[in-house]
Amino acid sequence: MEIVRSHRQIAAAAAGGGGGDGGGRAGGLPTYRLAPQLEVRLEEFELFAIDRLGVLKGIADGLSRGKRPEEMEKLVNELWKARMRRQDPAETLNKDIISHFVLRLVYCRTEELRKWFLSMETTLFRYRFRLESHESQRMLMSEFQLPYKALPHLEFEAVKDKLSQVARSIGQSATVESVFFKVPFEEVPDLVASRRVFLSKGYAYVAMSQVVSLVVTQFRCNISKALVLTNRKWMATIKEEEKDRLTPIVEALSNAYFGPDYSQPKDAVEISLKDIDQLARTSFPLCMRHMLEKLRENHHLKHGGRMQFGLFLKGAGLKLEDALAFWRAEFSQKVGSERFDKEYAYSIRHNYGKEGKRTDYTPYSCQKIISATPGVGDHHGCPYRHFGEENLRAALNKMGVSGHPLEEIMDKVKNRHYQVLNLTVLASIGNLLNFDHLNHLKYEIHS
Amino acid sequence: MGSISKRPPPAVPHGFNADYLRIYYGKLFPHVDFFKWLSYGNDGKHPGCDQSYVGRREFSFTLENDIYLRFQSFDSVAEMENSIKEKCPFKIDIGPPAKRHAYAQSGNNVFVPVERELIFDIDISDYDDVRYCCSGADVCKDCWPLMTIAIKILDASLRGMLFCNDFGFNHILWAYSGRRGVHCWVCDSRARKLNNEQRAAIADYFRVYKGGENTMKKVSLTGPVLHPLLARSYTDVLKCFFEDKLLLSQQLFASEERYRKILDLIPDENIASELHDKWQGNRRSSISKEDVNATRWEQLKTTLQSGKQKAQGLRRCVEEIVFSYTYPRLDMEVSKHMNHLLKAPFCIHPKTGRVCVPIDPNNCDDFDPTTVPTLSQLLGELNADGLHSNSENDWERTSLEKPIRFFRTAFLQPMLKACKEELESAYNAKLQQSKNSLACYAVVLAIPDSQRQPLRIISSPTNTTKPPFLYAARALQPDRRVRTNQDARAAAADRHSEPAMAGSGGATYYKGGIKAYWKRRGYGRLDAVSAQRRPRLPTAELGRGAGQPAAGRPRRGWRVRRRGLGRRLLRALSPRRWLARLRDAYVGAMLRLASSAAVGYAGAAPYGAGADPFALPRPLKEYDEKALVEIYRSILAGGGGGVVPVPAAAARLPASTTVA
Repeated sequence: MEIVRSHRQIAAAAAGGGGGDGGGRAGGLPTYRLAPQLEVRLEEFELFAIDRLGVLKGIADGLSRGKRPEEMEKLVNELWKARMRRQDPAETLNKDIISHFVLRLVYCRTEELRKWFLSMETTLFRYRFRLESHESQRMLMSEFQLPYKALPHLEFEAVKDKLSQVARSIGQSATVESVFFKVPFEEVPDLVASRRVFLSKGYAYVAMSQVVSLVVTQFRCNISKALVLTNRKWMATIKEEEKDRLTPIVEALSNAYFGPDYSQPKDAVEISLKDIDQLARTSFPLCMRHMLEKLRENHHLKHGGRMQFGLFLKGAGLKLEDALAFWRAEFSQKVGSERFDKEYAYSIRHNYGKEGKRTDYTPYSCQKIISATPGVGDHHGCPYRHFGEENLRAALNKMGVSGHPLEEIMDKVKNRHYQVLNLTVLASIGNLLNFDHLNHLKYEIHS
Repeated sequence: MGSISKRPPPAVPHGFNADYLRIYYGKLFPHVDFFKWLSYGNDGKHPGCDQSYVGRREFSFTLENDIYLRFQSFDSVAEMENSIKEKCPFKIDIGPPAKRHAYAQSGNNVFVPVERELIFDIDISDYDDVRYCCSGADVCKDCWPLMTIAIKILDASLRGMLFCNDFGFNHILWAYSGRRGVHCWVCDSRARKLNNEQRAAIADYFRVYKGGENTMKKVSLTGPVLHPLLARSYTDVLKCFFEDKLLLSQQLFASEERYRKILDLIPDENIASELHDKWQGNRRSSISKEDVNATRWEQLKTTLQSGKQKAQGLRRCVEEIVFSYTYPRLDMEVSKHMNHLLKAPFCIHPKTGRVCVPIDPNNCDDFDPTTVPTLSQLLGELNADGLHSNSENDWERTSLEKPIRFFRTAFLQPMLKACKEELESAYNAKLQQSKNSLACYAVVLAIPDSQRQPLRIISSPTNTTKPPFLYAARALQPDRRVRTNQDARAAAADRHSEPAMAGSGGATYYKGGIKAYWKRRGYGRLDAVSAQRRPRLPTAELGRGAGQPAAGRPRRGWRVRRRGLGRRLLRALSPRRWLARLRDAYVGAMLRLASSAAVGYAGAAPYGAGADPFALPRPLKEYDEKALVEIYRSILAGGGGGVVPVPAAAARLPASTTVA
C-alpha cells in the first residue's frame, strides 16, 4: 500500500507547502528545508523513524554522560553508520530525509517533545557537519544563505593579534587561520559562552573551523520554526484526517522515547520521616546523601540544594506534610520557625504543586543535576562531576567505599560515566537490592 | 496626596517605616523618570511607537510583612504613581514585559516574556571565602573594592569603548542594591531582545569562578595564554586591586590560616610546603619594616615565576590566585533567564534604609556604600528646608539630587534619544514599505488633540473626492477636561495616558457621516471661516509642548501670523508652496483613483505587494493610517494646510515637569 496523500501533507506541514526535491543538499547532508515529494510505504514510514530515533536516543545518552566533542563525533558517526546507512547513497539520503520529517510530525506536539527533538537533531547535525569536507561545508553555508563574507584582509590584519591570542587560549597553534567571518555575537552563543571567539563591538570573529556553530544556529532556528508550524497543521487538520492511519503510528512513536514514566509512580511508595535516615544510608545516591548530611550539619541548604533534594524526597514518596515537617525541623534551628514559615515553606508547597502555577514538579534527572552549576555555598550538583578529587574520595570513604572499588570509581569519574556511578557505588557497599528503588527515583541506570 | 503635607517632626530618627516611605514616594521618588526609562520611547509621542508596551511589563510589590503583589501593570505614569503611593511597597521589583497583558494572576494565564533587559546581580556575600572584614550581608570600605572590580570589568566588556568592548552595548545602568551588592541593567534594544540561550552565553562568557563548596580550586585557567577578556581584566584591574588594596585591607597573608588557603591553590606540594615553612619560621622578623602581606606575596610570586618552574600550571598559578580572590562572581541564574525579577533602582532597602542609587561606572572607585543617602537622612533634609515647600521638585533639595541628575543625564537621556532614533528609522522603513502599497480608501484626518499626541485618524470607506479636511479639536470634551484638571501633576501625567486611548482607536466606527461624527466629538472644521470665527485661540505647533519655547534645533513649523499682502504673495509664489500643491494634487488624484468604481478593491493589487487577488477587500491597516498621517504632516509642514487652533484648555496645561 502506498500513501501519496499523506506524504504531501507532511510536506505541506513541514515546509509550508513547497514542492521541493527533497530539501537542499550538499554532499550527504540535507538541510531539511523542504519536504520531499516521495511515495513512502507505511512500513517504511515507521521503520525509518524508529531507526532515526535510535540514533537520537544514542546521542541523548552520550550527552548525558558528558562526552567530549571528539567522543561525540565518533559516537554519532558510528550510530549513523549502524542505523541509517544503506548501500545506495541516494537511498540513504532518502531515508535520512523521510525519517526526519516523520519524526518532526511525531515530536511537534508538545513543548517538551519539541525541545528534546530540536536539541537532538541539532546535535546530530552539528557532528555530521563536522565530518563533511571543507568544500561541502561551504556549500552548506551558502545553502543556509548566511549573509556573511570572509573578513577583508585589512580588517583581518587589524585584529590579527587578538585572533591569535584567542586561538592560543583555546590550545590551538598560534598561526591564525586565514578565513574569518565577522558575525553578530548573538549568532554564536556556544562560542561566546566558552570564550572561544574574539569579540569586539558586538561582533564575534568566527574562524572557518568554528563555522559549524554559525550553521547550527541557523539550522536550529529553521527546525524550531518548522516544528511549531507542523504542530499547528497537525492539530488543525492532519490529526483528524489521518485518524485511522498515521495518527496511531505517530502517537506510538513518541511514547517510544520516554520509556517508563517515573513522574507517576505506579506503585505509590511512601516513605515517612523516620525512614529518611535509614534510606539515606542504604540507597540514597551520593549527591542526596551529601545534601542530607550538610542539611543536618548546617541546618540550611541554599536554593539549588533545596530544589534538588526536596524534589528527590518528593519523588521518593515523602508527603507534603512530612516534607514541611522535615525542612522545618532543620531550618528552624538556624533561622527560626517563623522565618521558615515566611520564607521557605512557600517554595516547598510550590514544589508539591500547591502554590503559584501549581505544576506538579518531578525530581531532577541525573542529566539536569550533572549540568548544574553550583556556586559559592552550594551543595547541590553531581558529586562525581562537581567535587574535587580529594573531597570525592573523602565522601566515598565515608560511605564505606575503599580500596579497589574506590579506584575503579575514580577511574570512571575520569571517564565521565557519572550516571553509572550511583549504581556502582551502591553495589560496592552491598546494596544491589535497591535497584528498583533507585530506578523509581528516576535515577536511570544506563548500561 | 494631601495626607503627606502634615509636617514631620524636625529631627528625623533613624529607621525605616511605612510613614517615612510614604513621604519618600510622595515627594522624592522619581516616578516620571522611572516610567520613562521603562517605556523606552514608547510614550505615544511618535506614531511608530507601541502604545501598549509599558502596560505589558510586570511590576511586583513587596508590602509590609512580606506580602507579595505580583503581576502589577501600569499603562501610565499617573497610574503607577498612584499605585505606588497608595500601596507604599517596601520593595519594587521589575519583571519583563510579557506577551499577555499582565492583568492578574488567574487560572491558566501564562505570561511569556517578550523582551528583557540583560541583568547582572553581584552580591558581596558570594565573596565570603575571600574577605575577612565582614561576612554575610555586611559590607565595609575594605571589601567594597570587590564590587568596584566587578563593575569595572563588566562595564568595560559590555560597553562600547575605544579599546575594550566586547559586546558594544551603550545604555548600561549600574545601581547599588541597597545592602550588599550591585545590579546592572543593560538596556540597549539589542540586549533586550536576547533570548535565554544568548543571555546564558554572555553570563558564561564572564564566568571564571566555578564549583561549589566541595572543590578546592575554584578557578582554573587553561591554555598557554589567556583570552583577551581575562588578560585585559588581569592587567588592567585585577592585579592592581589585588596588590594595592585587597592584599592589605584583607590581610590575606597575615595569619597561617589565611596563607594556607592561598598555598592550597598551588598544585605543587613541595613549593607550597616550602613557602609554608618559610613563613612560619620568620613570622615576626620582617613585620616591622614592611608589610608582611606584600612581602609574602612577592616571595610567592618569585618562587612560582622563577626560571626553575617550567611547568605551565605553576606559572599560571599566580594568575589563578589573583582571579580567585578578585574576579567578579555573578549570580548566574539572574542573568540567564528572561523572567527573573530584579529590584528597581531608587527603592529603599528595608534593612539598611539606604536608597538604591545609580552608580557611575566611570567613577565607581569613589562610590562608598556607607555614605549612600538613607531614608531618614533624606527626610531630614526635606525638613530642614521645609519653608520652600512650593519648589517644583522636592528632591532637588536633598542629597538625592545627584543620583537623580546622574540617572537622567548619563543614562536616561542618551537612551531615550537612541530609542527615538530607532523608532524613527523602524517607522520610516515601514512607511516606505507601505507607501508602495498605499491604496487609500478614504480620507482621514486628524486632529492634534493635544500637541503631544499622535494624530488621530479616522478611516472612512465612503467616497469623497474633496481634498483632505483638516479638523482640529475645538474644545476638549467637558468630562475629559474635568479629569485632566484634577491637579497639576495628574494633568501632566495624563498626557502620557491619553495616547493609549487614542491609539486604541485603530478602527473607529461612526454613523451619520464624517462631519457629524466630528461634531459629536467636539471637533470643528479647520478652515478660514472657523479661524475667523475664533480668532483669539492661542496657537501651538505640532509636535511641541504647549507653551514651551522652541528650544534647541529650530524647527520649521507653522504658526498664525498676520501678514501683509506682499508677504502672502511672496509665499504663494515660493517654490515650496508649488511643491506642496503638486503633492496635494497627487494625493488627491490617488484618492480619487482609489475610491473610483473602476478601480474597486482590485485596484489595490498593483500597489499591494503580493496581495491575494481572492482575498476580501483589505481592511485599512495600521501603516496605511500612519502613511496618511505622514502625508497630512507634510502638508502642514509645507504650509499648505493652514492653521490648527488649539483649545484654550489644552494650551493652559502646565508645562511639563518632566525632563525634556
